[in-house]
Amino acid sequence: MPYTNLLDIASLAIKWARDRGADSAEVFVQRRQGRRVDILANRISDTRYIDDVGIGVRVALGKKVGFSYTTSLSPEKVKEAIELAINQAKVSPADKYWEGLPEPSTQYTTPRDIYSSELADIDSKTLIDLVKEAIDFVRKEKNAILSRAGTSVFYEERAIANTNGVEVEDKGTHAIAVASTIIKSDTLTTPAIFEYTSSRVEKPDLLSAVKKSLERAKLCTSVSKLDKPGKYSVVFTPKAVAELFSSTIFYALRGDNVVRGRSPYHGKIGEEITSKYLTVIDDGLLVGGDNSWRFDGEGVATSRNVLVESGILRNFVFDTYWGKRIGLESTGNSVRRSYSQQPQPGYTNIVIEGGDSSLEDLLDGSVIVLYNLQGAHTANSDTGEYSVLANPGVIYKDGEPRGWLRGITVSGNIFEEVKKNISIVSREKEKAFPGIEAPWIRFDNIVVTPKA
Amino acid sequence: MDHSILDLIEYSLKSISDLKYDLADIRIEKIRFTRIEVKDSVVRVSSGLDYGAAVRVFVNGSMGFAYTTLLEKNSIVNALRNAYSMARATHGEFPKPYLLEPLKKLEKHSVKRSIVDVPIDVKLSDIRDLDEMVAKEVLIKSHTINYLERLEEKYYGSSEGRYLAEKRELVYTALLVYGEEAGVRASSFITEGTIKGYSIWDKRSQESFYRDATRKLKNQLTGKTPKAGIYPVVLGPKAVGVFVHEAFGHLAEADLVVGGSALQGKRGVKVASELVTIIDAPDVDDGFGTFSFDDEGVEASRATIVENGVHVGVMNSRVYASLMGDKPTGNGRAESFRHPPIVRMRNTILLPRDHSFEELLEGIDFGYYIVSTAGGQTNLDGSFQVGIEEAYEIVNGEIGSPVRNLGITGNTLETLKNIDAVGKDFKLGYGRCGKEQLAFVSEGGPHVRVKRISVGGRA
Repeated sequence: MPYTNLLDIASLAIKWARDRGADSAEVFVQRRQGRRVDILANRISDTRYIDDVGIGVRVALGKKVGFSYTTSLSPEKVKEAIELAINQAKVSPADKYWEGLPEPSTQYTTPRDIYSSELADIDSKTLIDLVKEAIDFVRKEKNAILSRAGTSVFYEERAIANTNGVEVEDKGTHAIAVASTIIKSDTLTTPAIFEYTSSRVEKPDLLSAVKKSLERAKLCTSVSKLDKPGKYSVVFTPKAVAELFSSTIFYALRGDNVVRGRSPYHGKIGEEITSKYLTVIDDGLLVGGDNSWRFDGEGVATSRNVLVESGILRNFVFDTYWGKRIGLESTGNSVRRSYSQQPQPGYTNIVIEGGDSSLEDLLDGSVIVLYNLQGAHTANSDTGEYSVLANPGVIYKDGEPRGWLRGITVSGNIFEEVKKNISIVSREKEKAFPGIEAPWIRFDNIVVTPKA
Repeated sequence: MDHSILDLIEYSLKSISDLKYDLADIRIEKIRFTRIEVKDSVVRVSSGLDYGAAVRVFVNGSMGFAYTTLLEKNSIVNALRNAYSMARATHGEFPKPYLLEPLKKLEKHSVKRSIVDVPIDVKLSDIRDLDEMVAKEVLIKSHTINYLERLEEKYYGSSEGRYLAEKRELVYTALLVYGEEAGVRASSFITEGTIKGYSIWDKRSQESFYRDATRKLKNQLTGKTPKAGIYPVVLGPKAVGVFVHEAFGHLAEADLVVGGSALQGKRGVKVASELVTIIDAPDVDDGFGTFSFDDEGVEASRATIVENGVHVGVMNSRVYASLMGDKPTGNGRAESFRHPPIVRMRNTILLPRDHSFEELLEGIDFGYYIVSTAGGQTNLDGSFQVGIEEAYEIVNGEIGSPVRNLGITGNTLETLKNIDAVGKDFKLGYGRCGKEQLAFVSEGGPHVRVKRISVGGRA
């Protein structure tokens, strides 16, 4: 599939940037090609073919930095982007913290299972058949509607070169399926719960996502009621964990937020920040991981970093710039999803390790399971305070689902609760979203308010 | 505008005239943007030349979409042929898209002073004025300023013989400040936007950005914790805007109506208090959703969603206009050439009535005045959750102490029915809405009183 060697283009662009007067330069070239089929309300809504190639250029003149990108790789467009980046650097004030681009890493490890030639060459028919199978499955279920679903497969190549001698390239494939099923009767519509599956090497598994979403929708076809506001035992499903942690815990573990004083975990390396049940790892080399690559968004080798180990804060994630601002190295966590983005600290594959309990243990007694949180992004990143709608929350008694608690709100302070309220963590993990794997976590004494 | 682009479109469409389809269209975008980001006084300037072509072919009840970043005939024709063959293989169940008459039109929005004519160092200096003001404030521990300008050139051609081009400029500025005092942490966010060229600082001065951000921050650092429960609430224009967009507007997007939103089957039904009229308009002065043609080449027209409390219409695209037997409203929008247009809002507005702000407060013994929100989310069933950034207690008809970290939840239609007074003022807000794709939108309204809203506390 490669039609031009991206690394050759990157190296050439570096030369052009030098010729134009850049002291240092970095070029990121990316090509994506793929197909996607979408479903809306039990029907195929559209099919897509994408052919996307572009180049991002970061230059520095002394401590003045500029960035530009362009679509297509024609010499004229690439030179125009270089010119723009250099002009921006010229007018920008010096960034006193700028300490240059990364050096080549001593060793680059290729993660396993991130490329499959079968996936790279997948045809539309295979995808369309998968989608039809999923639609047929849902149509057989009474009152069920596959409200939104889709599957996509794409091939991606990336190359990075910089004036320090970084010259790296990599290729990968991605298969993603997403499904949200609702059950709609005369009296009730269940909430939309999105479920995902993804793989770097296997055909997309849309049917599993559909089945899981349907199974969870069925839990909401009977309705129960919470008598009064109070403190309850609550189980966060992997997705609810990922949703709530994303704007709070994961925000606080990001190096740039630490350096900027935005993280409550600033200066707490070696201290206990969560219950001993929690271990959080960022693993850029995860086998078949959604975001596994040989190198990160600026050409630094990826690696596995333990961020929280049995509750003890071990590390943050850094790119080169934010690491150097406090005298540290990059952790291989410069994230760049597209050539249009500037590098910034972020996560590769987050893995929250499982505990030693079974799902039965988690559901023991009376407990409210949160399958999906609405408005989790409104949680306060600075304080950890949140007030979110559980949509749905389902009450379980002795392991049995006893109905959907419509409109319940869950609130509290997640920074405090991960320290004091976690009672059980499941062995079982699930991929909550592409790039995040988490177990089921039971919190005790969480404030739950019934619908007004 | 570049007339040769329309020629390229026409030429590419001609080269698939051997194929049979209901509609084929090509959208070419040339977006040039510059972004200036200031994080705690460190300045970063970046830019992008985002050019590409998106094609759609409607055949057999389905739509094939393809895009390429290579603006040349071969790549575009390859995209068209790929889109055609994928759609043909699908045998979808959607009706033919709503077809329109041939038309040739070029639209250029007038601007006071084009962003192209203002040198980058002037823009930098204007932003640094704000940066210096904010950096001096002891309450603010960290801040970010984002300035984004886009020069949008969009070209559209279809097999119907429609050839359209529209050019507009857009500027969006946001200030985010963060503070910490006595163990309490908080942040606040101010945004402004315009499509009238380089006029952002005339619309909202640096002082105004600074003053409002600091006030909100101070309120949150010192504010009371709200009492959980059900209270009368007065919503400010910003909060009303977010409510009509997030909590209500999405329910009235034709694709979500068909997908089972709470407005499904409610046409002609009273869904709100008779004081409520909600429209989505493409012709509001200086709105982010103000344009002449949508990304499907449809003339943008006003969509009236609720008129005096009765649900009268939805926002649609060509396909959903056919599906629901409505006229197309011109709500088909795409984030960029990388995405097919979907039903999106433009400028969503609750129309003002006749009450003064004081009248709205009258008679409230205890309640909350919600000025602005911090994001929200809605579900198809009409349930919503909105985080609140700036709020005050209302005590005996007067504005009282600031409240921090409030959240409101409820059901949209129930809430709309509980509106018992609508103010006479009006304000438009600017933002970006994410429904799979980002879209620049505006939303707004007057002050509004709601009899009862569930307020989330933090026990």
